Amino acid sequence: MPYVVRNSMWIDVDINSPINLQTYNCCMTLTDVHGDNDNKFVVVDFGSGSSSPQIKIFKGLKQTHIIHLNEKPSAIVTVYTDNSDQHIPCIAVVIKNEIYFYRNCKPYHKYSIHSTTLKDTEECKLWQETEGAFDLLKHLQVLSSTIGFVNLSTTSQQMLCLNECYIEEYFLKHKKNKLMKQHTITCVTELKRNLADVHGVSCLVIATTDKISILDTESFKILPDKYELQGETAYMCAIGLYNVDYKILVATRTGRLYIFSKSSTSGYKVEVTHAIVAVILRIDKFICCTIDGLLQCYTLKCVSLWNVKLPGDPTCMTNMYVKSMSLEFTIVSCITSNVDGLTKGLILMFSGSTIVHKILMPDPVTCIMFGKFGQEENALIMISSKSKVDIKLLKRTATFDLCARPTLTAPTPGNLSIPKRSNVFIEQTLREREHCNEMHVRTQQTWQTLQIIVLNERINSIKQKITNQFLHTSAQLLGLGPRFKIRFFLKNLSKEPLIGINVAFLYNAQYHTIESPSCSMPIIVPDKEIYCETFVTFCTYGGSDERAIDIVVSQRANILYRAKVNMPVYNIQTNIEESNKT
Amino acid sequence: MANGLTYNTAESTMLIFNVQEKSDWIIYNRYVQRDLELCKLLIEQELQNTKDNNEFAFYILGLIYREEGKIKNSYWCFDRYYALNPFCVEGVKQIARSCLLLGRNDEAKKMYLEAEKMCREPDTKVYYNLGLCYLNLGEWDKSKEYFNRTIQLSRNQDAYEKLASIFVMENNLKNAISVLISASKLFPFNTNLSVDLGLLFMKQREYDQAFNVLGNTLCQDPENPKALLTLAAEMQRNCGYDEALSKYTRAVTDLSECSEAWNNIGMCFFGKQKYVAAISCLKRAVYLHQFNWIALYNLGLVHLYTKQYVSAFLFLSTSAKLNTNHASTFMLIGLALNNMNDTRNAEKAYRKSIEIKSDNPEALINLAILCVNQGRKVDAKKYVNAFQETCLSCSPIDKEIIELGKQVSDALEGHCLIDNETALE
Repeated sequence: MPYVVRNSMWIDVDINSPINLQTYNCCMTLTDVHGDNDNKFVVVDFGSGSSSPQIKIFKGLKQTHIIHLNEKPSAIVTVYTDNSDQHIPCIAVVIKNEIYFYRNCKPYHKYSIHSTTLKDTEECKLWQETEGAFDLLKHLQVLSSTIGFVNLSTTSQQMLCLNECYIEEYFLKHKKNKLMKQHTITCVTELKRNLADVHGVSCLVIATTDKISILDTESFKILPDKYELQGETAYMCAIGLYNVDYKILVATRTGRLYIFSKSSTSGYKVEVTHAIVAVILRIDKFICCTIDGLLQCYTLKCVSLWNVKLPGDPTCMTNMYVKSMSLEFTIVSCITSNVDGLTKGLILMFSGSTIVHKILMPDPVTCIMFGKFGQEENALIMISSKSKVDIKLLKRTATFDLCARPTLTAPTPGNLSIPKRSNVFIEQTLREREHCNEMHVRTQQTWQTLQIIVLNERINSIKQKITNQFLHTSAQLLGLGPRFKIRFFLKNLSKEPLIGINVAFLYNAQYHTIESPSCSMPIIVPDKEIYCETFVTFCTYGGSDERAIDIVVSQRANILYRAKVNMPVYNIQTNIEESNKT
Repeated sequence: MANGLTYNTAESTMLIFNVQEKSDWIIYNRYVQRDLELCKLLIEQELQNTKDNNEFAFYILGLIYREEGKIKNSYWCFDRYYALNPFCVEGVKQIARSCLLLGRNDEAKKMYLEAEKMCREPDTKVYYNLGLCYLNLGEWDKSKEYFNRTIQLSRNQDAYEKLASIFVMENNLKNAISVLISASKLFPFNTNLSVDLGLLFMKQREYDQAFNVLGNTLCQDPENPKALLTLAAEMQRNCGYDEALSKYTRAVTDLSECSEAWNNIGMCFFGKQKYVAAISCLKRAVYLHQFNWIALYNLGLVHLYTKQYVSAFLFLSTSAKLNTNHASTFMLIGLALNNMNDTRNAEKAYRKSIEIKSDNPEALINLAILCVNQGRKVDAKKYVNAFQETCLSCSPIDKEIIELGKQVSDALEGHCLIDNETALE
């Protein structure tokens, strides 16, 4: 395998017939199910979606037990419920509002979160007073739009979600019953009661949609501590001992983090900007990983300690405690994509905020678990997005380089790419030094000549004649001089009317003055001829060329027509000087 | 089909307490694991099963749409979310956020104020976003108030940054600096904050402080281009050309198309008297940004040093066309013209330079020399006097220029003496 040499600190477990599991991080655990001092891998396999989920128990790579479940569980956790010498734990499986305890893979106990009955609300009245099922449905819809669907009783919620053909039946069934509000369990975690030992009796911290409570697993009674928070719990961790002191970290689905402790009723809280992927609680701090690729560390008073940008999208995170070295790492699994757009998995191990080890995986890893597996103390179990299980064992000889090394790996990149002096360059420089005067004069002369050429071209382009096939024009020059009247006719030959036509007379102010050198024409309908007129007065005698007047017809910015009217010597009467036809 | 999808039959919906949230956590899990397509599929199914009554599905769908840039769709989703759970602040906040993203600052402000009322306890996100709304609306005082509240409640580094930026906009650099100092103490690992702080110190001309802060930044993030460029410029100012060049070299890997960086590199080489390298770097700077008049000016200056007066004149005149208010440009044009024996235009250029900036010793002394060379002693004397006045009044001047001034005045006085003598005779 193309792994880096440093990866040799892991032994890859050779899995001959691949194990495929569809699961989530909260539905896996490593525990000594039978009390034979051999840690089994307990996992919920959700299957392909068509079959019901099953709890699978692996002894080594061999699957030993299957427990079929009716519904999708939202979490599993192992707890020791008594102090007997056999040390047989229970697997607690959370399904909706119930927790099923399995011991030795057999059902042992069931605990349910009781629903609360609603009394004397508007909703109750509706149920009591309304006769028909569909009337009630309508009333409930109205109520739902005012107080919100979430705040209705579960009974009514259920009715609103029902398919229409079942409504009547449902109504009859529940008409006499009281209205119920049922809360679901969203998360559970284990909290040791009074002994911080693997086999110590645990309590269960239960997060429901409205509060957090603690269940005593010996008597299956709810303990008095209760905590309230905003929003539904996504992840929860607990540390400490129930009888001494404990901290509970709660991450909600809307990006809030709460720290509750035994001594206080209201906890510290922090709000992160993006959805939380995973959390880890340590004795003095907690680490939270968000979907924007940040790994953030806070103290238990919610003061930010550090944050690190991850190289890809994180998918899951777990704590890694290596007992033999007494080292605690944070394992984060990321999705990285290379240039081809292929996604790969990358497992990072952080000590504090520095990366101490990396493992590359061919597929993104969605579930990760570290702990004692079988007799092996340090096993890393990974499940990829293609649901393939990979197991790596940490070598006993493995060491981690904990020194924070600077992230700068490449030394200063090569030199600046600057062209060297070439012969041509030197020649040119010398020549310029020697003949700078001539060069300057020549440059300026050429430059000025160029400017003149450009200006000439511009003038020529202005003087050029432009005609338009849809426009018929003619001009009349009336009078004996020195004052003349120019009458300019326009005829529209196209099928469309012409709008926004302007006529301008360009003249040389040395020889003439024109009273209104521009006029805007009204709309010209097809086949209609109209004219505009203006007065020209001669100032001096002059040569024939300069005495011409330019007539420009434009439609907004477009020039449609341009022509020249040669002005006569003023004592000769002329009528039509020029006309243009196309 | 992939995992997580259920195929609910009619039977299962008939269970009495088939609670809503049963697949919410799967949707959430898929969302955070970035399996968005599957997530959308799950949401669609869930909404079908509950007749659009699952608020959390709408919430996640809104977030997905927002990530995809479909802000309007996401707005709609959050609106549905809010309708299903009208007592939850989160819905109002998300709607407001959508408004903010759509640029409807006024509407966003109203929604956030609503959210503020709904909250049982002060909410930092609401305060921060209200600050943003007011900032966008131009109400800086209000904005500052809300950012301050955000900071009081939770140490939010973004709020610190915004607050400092408002102070900078108000030209209150002292406050901006104090905000950033306290922020960078709280977040020692945030390079953005410390770079901003360093730049502000530079603006305040507290170069030592700036040096310290930016140096620390570079320790954490050796590739930070802003810090690299600023430090390098500062080193260059203190004639540490080699150090500056090494910093530029590192920065240029990121900023290979930055005209200003190449301009500075060019001037480093110029400082090291490597004119060819300087010219090629400056030409690159001009190539990358044709209207960079500073680079053009520098290019002219270097060409003057290499005695290529024609090129110098061309670059300088282009620079002068782009920025007509830079006195030194005209002074250099005058020098170039003078060296090409075009004294008439050179004088014009000097005069223009003095016109722009009257206390311009370089232009005055050059003009004086020009007059001396042409034998116009009265004019020359006038300019020398003006030169001496400016030397006394304005900031320190290069010794060479003062020396030159002395020589010119000595020569003039010598001439005057001679003249007087001749007159006497």
